[in-house]
Amino acid sequence: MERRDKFSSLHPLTQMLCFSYVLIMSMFVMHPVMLFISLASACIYALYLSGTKKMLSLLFAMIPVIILTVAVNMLFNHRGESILFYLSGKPVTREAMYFGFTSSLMLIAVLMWFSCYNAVMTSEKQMYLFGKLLPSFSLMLTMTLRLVPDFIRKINEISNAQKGFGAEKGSSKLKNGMSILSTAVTCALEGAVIRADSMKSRGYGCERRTQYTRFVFKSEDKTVSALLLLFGAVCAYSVIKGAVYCEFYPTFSVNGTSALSITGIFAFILFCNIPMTLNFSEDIKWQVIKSRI
Amino acid sequence: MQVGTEQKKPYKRMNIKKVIVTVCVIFVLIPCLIALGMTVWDDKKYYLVSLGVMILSVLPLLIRFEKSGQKAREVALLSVMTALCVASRAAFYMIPQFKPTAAIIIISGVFFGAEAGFTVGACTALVSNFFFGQGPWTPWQMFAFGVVGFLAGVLFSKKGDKNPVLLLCIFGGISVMFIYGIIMDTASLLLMSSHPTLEGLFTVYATGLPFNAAHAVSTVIFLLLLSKPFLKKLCRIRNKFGIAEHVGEQ
Repeated sequence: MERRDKFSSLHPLTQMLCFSYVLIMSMFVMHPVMLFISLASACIYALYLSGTKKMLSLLFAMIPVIILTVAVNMLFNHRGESILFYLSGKPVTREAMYFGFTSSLMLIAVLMWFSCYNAVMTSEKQMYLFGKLLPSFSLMLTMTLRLVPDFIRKINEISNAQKGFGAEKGSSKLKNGMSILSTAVTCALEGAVIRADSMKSRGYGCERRTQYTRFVFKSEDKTVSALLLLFGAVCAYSVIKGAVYCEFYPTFSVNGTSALSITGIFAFILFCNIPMTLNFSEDIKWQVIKSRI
Repeated sequence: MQVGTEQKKPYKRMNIKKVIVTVCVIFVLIPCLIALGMTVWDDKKYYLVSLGVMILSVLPLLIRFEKSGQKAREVALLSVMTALCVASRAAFYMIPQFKPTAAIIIISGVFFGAEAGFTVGACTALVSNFFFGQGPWTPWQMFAFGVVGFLAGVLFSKKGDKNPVLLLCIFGGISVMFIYGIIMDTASLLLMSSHPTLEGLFTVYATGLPFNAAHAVSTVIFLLLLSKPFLKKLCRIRNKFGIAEHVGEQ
């Protein structure tokens, strides 16, 4: 059964709020517990979005990242008190190792969230969000996204046409490829000018640009955004107050037992799992409706 | 086609004043952010600060591109150049570091000017990551490719298509090796360790050296192959549709 992601059907602004907060939080707070929560939620969501096989292959691809990050930190960071051993006269410390693990956790969490981001935020949604800020640039983006497949199709067309009249015979593969490319480039450039003229004659630049898809900020968007803002604010408050903080140097100490820090971490758990909670509640609703039939 | 090479007027020339203003914005805003990072965050959030620096340096140039009153035709031509970059990166995906992307960005900068070169570079990085996956490296790539295009425009757009190919090749090799390579290597170090040391930096540069060299060599090869025919084609388009007159007068 094709799984439908409820979170993807929300307003792009709500989705962007969720992703940007989670990404900034993961990059900003070097705290093993917070990063583990972030990574776990990202993995669960990626599992839901792209299936077990893809998620696991992505996770396995991260192993060299972990090794590299830990190694870089252990070799080049000589801070910290508990020395594990000496490597060519330089101390290798346990704190640097912990730091390496935490930063690799951060890296994987960020990459995992980006894989979810890529699945949820289609180019159209990103264009909707940023298009108002940079209209010419986003027009360029849209046109480019459309031109890339167009260009590849054109190359195939030209190549077939050249095969058809036997132009391939006698000339080398490289030369032939260059001539196909040259033709395609000329076609694309001329096409662009003609398209621009046609755009102009249809009123490009007279009015603000509109979107192909209409995104409406519905009541459920309001609810989800309010929840996101609430949890985000609670979590940010406890981070700013210094309740969720991790000290690496000179000795490793995690600070996370006071009431405020537990509240902050709990708020972060809720925040990260809002997309999945939405999906589960939607699934349960569907099961209930199905059982009534 | 011969007419094109005789024309002296460049497609679009960057005003020296504009360059100075842009550079000032970059040199004032960015130190502010770095100072904020050093005082408020106790100099610990290297990656976040540097990411902010990248976004800050990409934005003013893109906004300048917006403000320079692009005609539909120019935007359309630039998006063709970007599409070429993206398609070529996809075409040579199997061979690591062997890609004509930087070469096409440099050609765009030479012909269309510095701002357009920057925009093509930044846009290429962004769009190709729609296909290859966005990540924390996207702003860095946008900036690095953008700077390569920008510099190509500053240095060569005055002479446009009359620049000797050899000079373009030398510029291409150096800029890819030292500008793009060093920006991206620094990014990967900052991504991996939040306490970067000079020692670590040199190690990352040393390990990145062969990759950057391969990228630089491929850029030189593609510039040798592509720059003359490409500039010729662009000149032909310029003359055929009379774009030079209406842009050059601005």
